[in-house]
Order: sequence, then C-alpha cells, then structure tokens
Amino acid sequence: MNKLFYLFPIAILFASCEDFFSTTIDLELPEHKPLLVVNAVVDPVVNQKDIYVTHSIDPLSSEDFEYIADATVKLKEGGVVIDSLSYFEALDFYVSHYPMELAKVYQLEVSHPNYPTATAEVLIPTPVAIAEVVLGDIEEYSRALQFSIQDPLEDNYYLLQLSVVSDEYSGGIWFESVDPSFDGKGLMTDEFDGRKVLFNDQLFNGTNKTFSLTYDYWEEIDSVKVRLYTVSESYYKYHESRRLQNRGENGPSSILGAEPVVVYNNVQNGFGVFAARTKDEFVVVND
Amino acid sequence: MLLLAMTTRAQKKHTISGYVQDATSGEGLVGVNVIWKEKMQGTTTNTYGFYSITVPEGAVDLVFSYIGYEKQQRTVSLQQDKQLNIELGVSSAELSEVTVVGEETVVDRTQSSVVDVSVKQIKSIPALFGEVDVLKAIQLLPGVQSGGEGSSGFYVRGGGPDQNLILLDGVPVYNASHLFGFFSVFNADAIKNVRLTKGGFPARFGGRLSSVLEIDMKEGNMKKIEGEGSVGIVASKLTLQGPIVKDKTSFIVSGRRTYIDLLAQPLIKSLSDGNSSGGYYFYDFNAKLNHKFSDKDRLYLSAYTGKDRFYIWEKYDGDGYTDEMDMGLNWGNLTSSLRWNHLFSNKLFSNTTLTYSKYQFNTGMENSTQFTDGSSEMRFAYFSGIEDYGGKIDFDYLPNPNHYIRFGANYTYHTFSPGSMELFEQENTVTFIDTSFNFSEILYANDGFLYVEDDIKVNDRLKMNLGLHAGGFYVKEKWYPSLQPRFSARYLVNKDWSVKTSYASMQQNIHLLSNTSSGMPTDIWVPSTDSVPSQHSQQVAASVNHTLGGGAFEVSLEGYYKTMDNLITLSEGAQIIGFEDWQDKVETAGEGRSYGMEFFLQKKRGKTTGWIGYTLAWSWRRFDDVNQGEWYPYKYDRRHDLSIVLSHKFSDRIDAGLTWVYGTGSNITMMDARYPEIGMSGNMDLFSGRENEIQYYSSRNNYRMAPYHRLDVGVNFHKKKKWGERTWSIGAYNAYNRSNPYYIYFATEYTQQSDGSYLEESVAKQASLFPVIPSVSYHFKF
Repeated sequence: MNKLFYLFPIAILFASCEDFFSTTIDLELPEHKPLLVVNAVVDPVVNQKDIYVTHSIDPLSSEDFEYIADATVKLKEGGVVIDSLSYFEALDFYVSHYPMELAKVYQLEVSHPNYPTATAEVLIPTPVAIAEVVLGDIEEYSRALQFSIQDPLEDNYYLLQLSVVSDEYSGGIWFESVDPSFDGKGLMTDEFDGRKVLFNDQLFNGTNKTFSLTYDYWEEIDSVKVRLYTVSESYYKYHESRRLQNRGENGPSSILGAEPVVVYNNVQNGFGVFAARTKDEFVVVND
Repeated sequence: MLLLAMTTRAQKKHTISGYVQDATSGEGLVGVNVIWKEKMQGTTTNTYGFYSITVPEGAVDLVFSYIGYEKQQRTVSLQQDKQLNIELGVSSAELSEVTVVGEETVVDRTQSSVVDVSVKQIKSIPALFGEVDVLKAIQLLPGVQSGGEGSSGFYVRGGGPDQNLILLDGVPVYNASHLFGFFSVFNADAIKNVRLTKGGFPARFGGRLSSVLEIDMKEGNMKKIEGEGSVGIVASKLTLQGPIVKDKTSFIVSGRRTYIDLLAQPLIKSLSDGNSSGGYYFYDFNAKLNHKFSDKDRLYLSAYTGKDRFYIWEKYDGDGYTDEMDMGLNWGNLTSSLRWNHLFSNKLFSNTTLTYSKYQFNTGMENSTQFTDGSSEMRFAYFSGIEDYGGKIDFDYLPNPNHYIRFGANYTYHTFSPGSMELFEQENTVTFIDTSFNFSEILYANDGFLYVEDDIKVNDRLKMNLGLHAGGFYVKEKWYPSLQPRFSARYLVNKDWSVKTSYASMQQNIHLLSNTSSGMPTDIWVPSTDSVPSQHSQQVAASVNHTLGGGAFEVSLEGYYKTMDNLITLSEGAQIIGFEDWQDKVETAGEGRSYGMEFFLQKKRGKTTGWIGYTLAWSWRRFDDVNQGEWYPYKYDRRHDLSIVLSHKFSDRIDAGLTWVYGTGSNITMMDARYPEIGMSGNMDLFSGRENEIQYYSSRNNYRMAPYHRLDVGVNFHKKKKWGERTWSIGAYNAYNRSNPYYIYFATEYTQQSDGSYLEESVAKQASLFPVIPSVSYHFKF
C-alpha cells in the first residue's frame, strides 16, 4: 500500500523541486561525541551469543564505521560478572561461551577508554511451542497451512519465518495471511505478504491461537521450514521502530515533514540493542 | 437581571432601529457607530448593518459615523418607536486618501484579541504571483504565524491549524487551501469583511480552540450593475454584481481559475508527440442572492464551490504492446447558506441560517496494457472527506443602550469519511484483486450548542461581555457535553486609553489528522471518540489600548496565556493514508501551553496606512509517548515574529504597498548521530552502505532553522477610462531574493579526486522554495 503512494504526485512535485531550489549550508549542530554502539541478538538454544561493538558518528562526518576490537565486554547476571568476552577477529564480534539460560535476565557491560561505558540487559524468552499443524492440499502455486500455539499470559513477541529446505535453493519462502495480528505490514493490501513477520500477542494474549497462512509452492522445493521465534521485547521494539524509520525515510512523508521515528534503544550511555530470541520449528514436506 | 432593573427608569422610552448601508451600493455596513449625542451613549451595527437604540421620548440627536464615510446627524422627535434606515455616502475628504475600516476603535470595543482587516488593505498587500490572498494577509497580524514558505495555513497563539474556525458567510470551510497550501480558497473580489478573533471568544462562537476567522461575502450592489476582474500570471477572475430589482434584490457572482494547464497543454502534447498530457488547475466560484422582502425581512442565499485538479495521462507504444496510464488528484469544498433576517420587534433581531458544507478528496490511478494476445489492467482509487448539514438561529436583543444581548442555538450533522480505497487488478480474464476497503468506519455525529451573552455597559468606563456556551457532541452513541464560560471586560481610562481582560474556555470536538504544515488535501477530519477525546483550552488575555492622532493610529499591547488538553498528533512514522484505523495512528492526551505578548500599531487613515505587528511567543507540547514524555517546543514555536505592512497613496493614479516579515526559524527534528543497525538474524554488516544506518534524534524539534525574512513590494497604476477604471499592478515577492529555509536534509556528495577516485562527503542541504518572483497583473472595474 505504502509503495503505491511513493508514486503520489505530491512527492513528484516536491522531489522535482528538491534539487533545483536546494543549497548546501553550514549546519550549526552541537558536535556529537561518539558513543559505543552495542548490537547483539543472542539465542542460547543455538548458542548464538555474538556481540558487535562499534561507535556512532556525527551526521556530517565522513568517517566510516569500524568494529571496535579492543573493548572490554563483560556478561553479568544479577550484577555479577559471569563471563569476559573475547573478540573473534574473523567475524568482527565478541563471543560468549557462557551457557545462558531461558527466562533469566543478563546484563552486558562494554567499556573502552575512548567512550563512556555502555550497559544493557535482556530477558531471555522461553520458546513457545508450535502445535496442531494442519496442511492443506497442494494447489497450483500455493499451499495452505495452519498451526497453533498456547500464548503465555505475559506480553509476548514473535517472529514467524518460512524458509526453503533444499540442497539447491536457499532463502525465505513468500507467504500470505489475513491474520489481524500481522495487520498493516502488507505491501499492497491489509493482508500480510512477505517472507517473515514480526508481531505481538496484543490480540490473543494468554489464549490458544491458531495461525492460518498460504505459502508459495514450487515443485522444486521438497520441504519448507516454519520457524516461530519468541523474541525479547527489545528485539520487537527495535526492529519494529527500525521498519517505521525506514518507511518514513523513503516515503513522501519525509519530504512533506512527517515526524521521524526514533528507533528503540536499550543501551545506556550508548546506542544499539541487546536482544534475544529462541525458537520452535517444524518442517513441512511437500509430497 | 439586577442590572436590567437598575437601568429601568420611570421616564418613557422608545426604540429607534434600522439598517445602515452604503449609499452607492446598498451594502449593509458593519460596525457603524450610532451615538445618542446628549448622553454620548450608543451602539454599533451588527453583521447585517442592523442597529437598535432605546432612548427617552422627545427630541433625540443621533450621530452615525463610520471611517471613510460622511458622518450623519439626525434629529428625531421621538413619540413612539421608530424605524430609521440610513445611507452613508463616502466622505469626499476621504476620497483622496486611502481609508481602512472604521467601526469601533480598539479603545472602545469590549472584546479584546479581535482584528478587522479591510479587504481594501488586503488588496494593497503585495502577493505571491500577484494573487491577492486573504489568509496570507491574516498571517501578517500579531499572534498569527504562517506555516511553511508560501503556505496559507496559519497558527494562532500557539494553536494548530485545525484549531481555527474559518467561516465563510457563517459556514465552516474545512480545507481553505489551493495548490497544496500555496493559495487560499477565498477570492478577495467577492469578500466584504474579514475579522479574526484570537481570544476572549464571545459565547456565540465555539468548536475550535484557537481562533475564529469570519469572512463575509459581499451582498451584491442594490443600486447598479458593477463588475471587476483581473488577469494575472497564475489566474484570472471576474466578479459581477448588481440589482435584479433595484433596492430590493441583488446578486453577485465571482469566479477565478488558473490556466497554467491550458497554456502548457499544447507544449506537452507537441513534445510528447501526443502521447502524454497533464496539468494542474484550480477554480473558485462564489455566488450570492440578496432579497429585501420588507424592512423586517431579508433573505440571503450564498454559495461557494472550488476545486483543485492535478492530472497526468501517458501513453507508450512498445514492441508488441501499448501501455496507458491515467492518474488524477482532486479535492475541493462546497459550501452554501440560506439566511433569513427577521425583525420580531425593533429591539429583537433574528438571523436564521441553514448551512451545507462538504470537503472531498479523491485520487486515483489507472494503468492498462494491451498486448497482441491479451491485456492487463490495474487501478486504484482513494476517497476521504467530511460533509455537514446545519441550522442555526441567532437573536440580537437590545433592550436599552446598556445591554446588547445575543442568544441562539446551533446544530450540525457531520458525516466523517476518514478514508476508503478501491483496488482492481486483472490480467486477461483473471482478476487478482477487486476489492474496496474502509480504513476507518464512516462516522456520523450530532453537534449542537446553545449560547447566551450580554454586552453590558456597567457605567461610562466599564463594559463587560458575559457569556455561556453550552455544547453537546453525540457520536457512536455517546455524548460529549461541555459548559464553556466566557468573559471579557473593558475599562476606559479616558477617551484615548483603555485596558481590557478576557477569559475563554473552549472545547473542540473534531480533529485534523495532518503531518504537514501546509494544509494538504490528504488531511482528514475526524470526530472525538472514546479513545480520542475532545480537545479543551483555557485562555486568559489582558491588553492596554490607545488611540492617537485623533483616531488615525491605534496601538495595543496584549499578553496571553493559553493551556490546551487532549491534543492529538500523528504517531511517529504514521502516515495518513494507510490501512490502520486512524485512531491507532495518533498519540492522544497531549498537553499544550502557549504564552506571549503582541504589539500592534495600526494606522487606519491618511495617505499612508498599514501596521506594525510584533509577537514574542512561546508554544510547547507534551505527549506521553513522544519525546520520552518530556515537553518539547511546538513546530511553530516562533520566538519573534515581526510584520510591517504599509500602503501609500501617492496620487489618484499611483499607490504602492510594501510588506516585510521576519520570524525566528521554525523547529525541526534533526538527526544528532548515526550508527549501524543489526539485522533480524543477528548479523551486522558495516559495509553495505547508508541504508543500514540508523538515524538518532535526541528530542523532538531539537533544531531551529535559520530566521525567515522577506520583503514584498508592489505598485499599482490606476487610470480612469470611459468604461470605468483599469489598474496595472506590478510587484515582486521576496524582493531581495532571500533563500529562506523550507526544509533541511542530509545528502551525500561525491567529488572526483585527481587520481580518479571519488571522495564521499556528508553535507546538510537547505531547500528553499521561492526566489524573487516578479508579478504583473491587470485589473479592471466598471
């Protein structure tokens, strides 16, 4: 839907004026003192505990972002240090070997002599199990699929993703759904269509919830993996606000003065997100 | 009642009443002073030129005065109630000078925070592309700020653009903009009076928090046929008025249309070999009929319609296929009113009005492709709007010179259509999409109020206006009642000095969803609901007022403090057009506060007229989920705002106008830093370019753009002709070519180095809209 309005004539009108009437100016912004950027999405089930450390830069700086390899990164539980992370140079992140547990809160402390010490914390979500998978008949180009979950009582956040299981192909599988929990994220209509969807349990909190969707069927794909990630609140808020900021940047609203979106940040004295996710999954065999 | 009783005396009294009108056109004159000379007590004519004054039996001298007109004194031997209609002729002394408006002076009037701007003055203000614009003249008054460059949107005392009640002949106009806000919908040739109330609202007004802008159309010349028109760079207009039955029935019709599309059409067609066309135009049409049945009954029927249309058509012949695209954007208002003035007695005047107002926006696109062996078609259409049916009755009751009582009732039935869309996609005979959506349900609301107010003369120095406005708004089976007390008072220190104070409580039951400052056609009006309650405000104001130079100059200094509750704003990143219900896209329960001082020096008589207006102001907003719940400056929190408006008449043949404005820069939300994002899978990539950067904004409206200032000049050359008068007007908007900031954005520039590589550099760019824009137009009057 929003893509359609990128064609909106107002945008054309203003965009065409943009270069003609614009001049480069000296902007007297307060100088930005760089802060640490700490980004991490941990998944204790698959032992993913990669912590990226970089820094922020001034809007007008020509400097490139760089990974910071000489920071001190500590993992804490209840304020007590439980692991000092080492830098994995080949992949540019710090890695923890501590066996993080579900439903526990962990803190991260990142310090470096050139920046204020940054801290963040996350609650590791317990994965919500998928149940009652029902498969529809294979149509010409699609196949219907249903599954259920028992949503826990507290606020929960999810990421649903379909992907190919094949030796020849890789990547996400396109699917569609009219589930209201996915509302507003469609490309053309209020139906959801895409390869993954981030949503919350606002409409079904604490109930048994059934999801119905239709995924793209290709003969060449033997099976499809359906993954339901249970994600931390920080994961949901970060990526949801990031999606909105991206949409605003590219749409006509940025030209016409809509307010920019502030991306969620749970890093104290710094930027970024300390997030976590855990998953349950099943494989659909296209036989 | 006590005051009424106190003023009742044993001496027998009678009432003199009637209409005061212009001797040449028969138009009713608003605000004419009617003074009982012996006691120097008096009244003024109302919007229809009606007055009523009750005085003791016997010989009474009444003086009728109005700036720009010959004063008239009538001696009446009063033995019973008397009807006395007056025709005032234009003053010969004033004929050689420019005269502005001439009702009560700022010192006399009870009400504070009110400004009348004469149409003559508005027409003398140099204008963008030479197009005289009522709303842009209003922006030059103290306490009123403009939106963006060239925009006709206005902000009064820290309020939003939706908080202004714009009434054309008493009918609300919901979108007063043409061409995305660059021009207003009001054609100055069809307008008689313009009055802006910024505070101290009398009880007869309600429904908006920040201002009431009353625009009255001309009634039509009762004496003779007259015409006027102009041909300009952007538009041409023509107005005709005259009697249908002399002194009984008159008419006025006025039309305006832009014609850039007509001029550009042949060029576009020839450049595209007939394969594309496109353009933009707007038009306005005003019409009014006015009939006098008797001295007791008059009927007015008025209507306005205007529309903007933007359209593109393209055809492309490819190899084995033909592609055709048709796109359009249309929006416009339709308002009409039927008003009946009736005199129940010489002390009781009534005005009964039936109104209709509609604003509609629609856009659509159609794309069809014809292949050799098939075809495909895709189309979408989007609609939104508001429609009102209304009725009201207003009474003016003047029991004696010490009281002017107004009371009445108003009812409006609103239909809100917050947005719906139709989508269709077909290839050959297979239909992929054929559906329509209502993003938000169509809502119906009943909106009504009762009011009573009394302009009380307590003694020769103290006058007060006390009023109560009782409103009710019914939507989705729920009532939103309100009781809004109003008060204003004036204390006359001496004939040249007065002090005033006022208090007004206001409630607004409808909201505007808008993410721009310029009055875009996509803006949507929506009603209060459970989750988006009615907005409220309270405002206090106090002023010192002075006249000097025998009334030629008026000076006022006024301070105000306004609080606002239940404000709304679009959520961060929310877009007006989208599938979410509008109630899910707004932040509610916002608070606002604004305060400031306004200085206004006005010269109303002489060869040089105009004003200097200066405003020192602060305006703040707070929403729980915006800016971490902290107070932040409103986008149009403009600390200093100065306007100098001057017109000078050199001779009967030449006059000139000059406007200079200065305003502190507007607030915008600027990026403070950028940093890399992490993907949903938990991976990072620092080398994939700017699209993977997150922009950090420390707070809402954290940056103030450069100050705005601009000089506009214009000269008019008049010449009498056998058939009437012609005027050539030349002018320049932004005469010294100031690059005023419209918006600021960041960009990446690449400079080639001597070794052939490119240096990447981040720069801030300021977009400016209008450089110096000369204009020329030809006006005629017969």
